Amino acid sequence: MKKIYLTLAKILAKESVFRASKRNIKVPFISRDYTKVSALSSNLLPGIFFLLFASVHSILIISVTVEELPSILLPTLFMVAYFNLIQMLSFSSIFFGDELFEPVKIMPLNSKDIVKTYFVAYLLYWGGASTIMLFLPQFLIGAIFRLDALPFLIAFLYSSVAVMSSSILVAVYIGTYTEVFRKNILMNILSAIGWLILISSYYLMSYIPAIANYGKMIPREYMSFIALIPFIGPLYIGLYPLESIISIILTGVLVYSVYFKTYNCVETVIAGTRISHLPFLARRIEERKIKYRRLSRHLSLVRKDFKLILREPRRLSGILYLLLFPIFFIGFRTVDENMIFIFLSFVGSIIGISSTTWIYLEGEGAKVLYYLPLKRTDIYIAKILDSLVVLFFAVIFFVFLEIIGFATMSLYGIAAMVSNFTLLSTTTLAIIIANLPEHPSSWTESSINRFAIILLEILLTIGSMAIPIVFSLLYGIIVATIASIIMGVIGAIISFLYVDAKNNYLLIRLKIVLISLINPLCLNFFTLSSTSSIGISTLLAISSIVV
Amino acid sequence: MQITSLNGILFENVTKSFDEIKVLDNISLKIPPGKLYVLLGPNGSGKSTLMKMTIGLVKPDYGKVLVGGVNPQENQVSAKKIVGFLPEEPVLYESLELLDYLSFILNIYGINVTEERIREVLDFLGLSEHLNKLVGSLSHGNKRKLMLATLILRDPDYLVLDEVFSGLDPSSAVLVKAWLKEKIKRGATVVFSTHILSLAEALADTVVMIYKGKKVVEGSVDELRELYGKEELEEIFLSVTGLEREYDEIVRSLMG
Repeated sequence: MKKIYLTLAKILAKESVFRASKRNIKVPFISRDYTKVSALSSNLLPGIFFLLFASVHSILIISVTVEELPSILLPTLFMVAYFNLIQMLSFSSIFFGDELFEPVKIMPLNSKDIVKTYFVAYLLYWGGASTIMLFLPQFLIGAIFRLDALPFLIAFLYSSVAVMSSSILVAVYIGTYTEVFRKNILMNILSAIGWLILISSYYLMSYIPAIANYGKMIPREYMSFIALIPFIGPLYIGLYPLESIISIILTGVLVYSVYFKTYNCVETVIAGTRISHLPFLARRIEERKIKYRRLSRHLSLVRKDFKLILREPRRLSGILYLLLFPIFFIGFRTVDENMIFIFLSFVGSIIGISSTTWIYLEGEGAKVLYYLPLKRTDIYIAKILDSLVVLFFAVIFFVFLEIIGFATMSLYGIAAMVSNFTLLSTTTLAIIIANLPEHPSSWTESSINRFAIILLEILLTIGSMAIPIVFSLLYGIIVATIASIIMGVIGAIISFLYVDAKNNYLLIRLKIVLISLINPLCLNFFTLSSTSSIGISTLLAISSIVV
Repeated sequence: MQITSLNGILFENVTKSFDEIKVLDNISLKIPPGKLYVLLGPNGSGKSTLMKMTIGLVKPDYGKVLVGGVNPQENQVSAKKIVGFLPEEPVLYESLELLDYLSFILNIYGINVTEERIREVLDFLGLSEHLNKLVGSLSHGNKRKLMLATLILRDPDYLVLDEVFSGLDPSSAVLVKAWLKEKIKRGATVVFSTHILSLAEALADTVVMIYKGKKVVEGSVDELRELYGKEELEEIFLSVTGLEREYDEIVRSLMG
């Protein structure tokens, strides 16, 4: 029986890696080659990584005083929670989203065994077990060199295991429910926040040292209250034993409750209980009135896209991330006008590039579009409208930051932001939509040449940024804004023509006209006289029209 | 065959290959308005490929296809507007609620229907109780019914239905049969494929048998019975394709 567990867990993990690569879900440290999934390879690399993290803290354990130990150990708990949450969230969303348990259900295994297989698959083959390396080295080094702090270390081990278990279970709960019960808005939002944490992980990691500092900054009189907090409290066992013991009990109760709730949820789903028969959902189902409102086909496509993204927490988090982008703008209040202008242009480029999300959002559903009387231009327009909504909210957010005094706004900057957005969104969307498969296919990141698209996105971003940077530095912000607007408008026209006619001669002519328009400024920049540069430009423009 | 009709569906010498494998070999068919044609043939015989040509999803290598005078290869959007096409497998947005999906499709086609009419059609197909559900949570049969609901609400003059009765419960199948008969009466052009031979016998004005990409026989059920001297369509099919002896041998070997 033990062998069946392991074999089945390995097969499920392989399948999950394969599905993750299809859905372009990046899982830290896990090879995208699903044939290479093994207990060793899945845990070795992250294990080494975590060991490096942990070893830094382990050295600190040797030198600090007993009073300082809790604040040194605290960041580790954060990391344990963080890594398990993101790893398990990605695993469970694939496992339940793609209903990988379905083929297993018909095998001669009871639901308890299947649930166990699922956890084994995560721990052994998805890198779950490797997170032990975040706290085990600290415990062992501490146990060898700091016998005086043994109660602290045992409490730390207890807290770490509790945090690890509960974060895995919470991730399972979120992953299971959001994938299976997509209609539950609260769960979708929670899951989107989970994914948001995942994609902004690099920023969050930089806050880890700050957590240790906060630990040190807490006044002594409040420490006893902190010792009562579940998961954290046990770390204060040597300082506030009574409070800490209460916290240990609370932690145990919490972990058991989460375990109980999650296990039941997973078992219910895996056992195949009909979703609508679950009591809490049954209550929600009520008679719906039929309402049909006529919309244009473009608005109908936009409406559909927003309905879809609200049920795709992973994609939704990508959009939320774009809206939160201005937060990094907070520190720009005192920076000079040029920098604000360039930064806003960059934000426009990033939002423009991210328009591709709306294509990949289609997924399997894209096949529907092939059967509908739609031109590629219709889909193109709808996707641009989708992105415009995001841009609109980003601009509103910027204005809000300005009003509350967090950022200095620049009207020219906003104009450049909109222009860069227009250039990049129209161009990338046109290129991708024009090159999507001819026959009914799903549209995901793997449907197109990903390398080519990334290269294109990088080049376009650099290209779009060159105008605001070069022009603002050489000719001032007003000229740079005008140049950005011209590029945005021309880019949009060319792209629009490109979507349904990839090799249109008109397109080639327009490209030459575009070059001709920018030419006077560029040639002037390279010290040629204005007269000669305008002359060359005119010649190019005429030849493009004649040809 | 002269292509003169502006109504009906025409396939003229249609040939199609995928990776140098010929899936359709010089097929010609003329389906006049007010008639129901049934395509019969084993899996992979080319029926779906032929039907997809009516909305331009597959382009013939040689030959011509016309639907109501529209060439789907040249004008895919117009063809899709006039043809009610039902693919074999449900093609839907699984994350949308049933009603949202229905509204989306109707808006794309620019259909004006009353809310009462939508209710009527959903009641007709037994979908009203699933209004709140996500399309993905519907059973296979209900997904098929949802796709049929969009066709009924669109009410197109040309119906091309791939395995239309697949996954339908008996009562829904009866209703769909009645709907198809009514459509024929009103002058629609209908072609569908099926593996349920009794349905073909009951509904078809003309049966077309396709085998290995070739049209092997075309005629009414009575004509075929008379021509081949066999009562059942199944027997006629096995006889014209020469599979009768082959199948006997396979069954014998299976039984040991």
